[in-house]
Amino acid sequence: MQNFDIINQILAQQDIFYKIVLLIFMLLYSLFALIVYIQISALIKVVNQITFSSIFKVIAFINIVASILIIIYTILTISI
Amino acid sequence: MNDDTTLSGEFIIDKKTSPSLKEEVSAIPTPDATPHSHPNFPGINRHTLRFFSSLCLDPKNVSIINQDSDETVHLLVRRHWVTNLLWILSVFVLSFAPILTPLFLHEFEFIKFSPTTIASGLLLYYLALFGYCILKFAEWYFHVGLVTNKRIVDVDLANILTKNVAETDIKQVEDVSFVQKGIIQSLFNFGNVFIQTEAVVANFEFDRIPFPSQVAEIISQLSQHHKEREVSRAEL
Repeated sequence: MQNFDIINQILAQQDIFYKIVLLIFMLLYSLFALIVYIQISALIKVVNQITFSSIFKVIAFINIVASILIIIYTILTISI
Repeated sequence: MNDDTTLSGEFIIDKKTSPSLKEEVSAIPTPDATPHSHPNFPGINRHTLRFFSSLCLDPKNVSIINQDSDETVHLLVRRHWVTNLLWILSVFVLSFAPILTPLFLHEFEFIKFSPTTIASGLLLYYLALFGYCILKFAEWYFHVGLVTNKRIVDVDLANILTKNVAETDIKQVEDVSFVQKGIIQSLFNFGNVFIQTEAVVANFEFDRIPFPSQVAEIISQLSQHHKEREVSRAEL
């Protein structure tokens, strides 16, 4: 009977569990976005197409900012 | 007087023995020549290098690593745009995947998402797709071959974390050849260009680039021109 209660409790709180899983993925994604940005910055030093390089760097930076904003949104919407 | 004669004589010798490739080919008039295409290579874009350009002759606004003040980029090559089709198509298909997800979720009724969780999940999903686009574009954009008046630079990007930058003196170019394999490469006119050098270490490969025969010819001409110039300088 106790086991059923635990399962019911978990199912009732499953949304928090999904959000925690999403947060882990978002943190990993932020790390990936940061690595992409660093690599793009490094590669621009090898080949610099002056008219586009800065735009490309900004796009990669927007990717990092967006991932951080999504993390903040997800944390703010967690309701226990 | 004597100095003037020597000076003009030197100028004539220099003009005769070492005209630039641009001067050589510009001298030949062709009816379809426009300022943005090369007279001898009409299909090849000249000067105007855009972010999606696969091939550009004498590109403006490009600088490369360790570039000397008297070094100019004559040729920039990337993979043909067709090589990007696969990932562009996969992104297009994947962007519709969330629409189909509710159909499968009906099978698992015990799974219940709040609207905010769905919103977070969707945002992460589309951001990941956007990140994938950046990644694949960067892999194409920075996988570049460059030919300057001094050297050949080959930037190979296996993935975003693995880059290989190789360069050789243009004088060391021994032989340039190209390979076109299969229907798609023949249809869209792209292939691999191989540059054999005197150096033991590396031979260069520009893979899946557009107009491989013309690119091979341009590299050969540039190398030949440079060697002739070296000989004429040595004779002087």
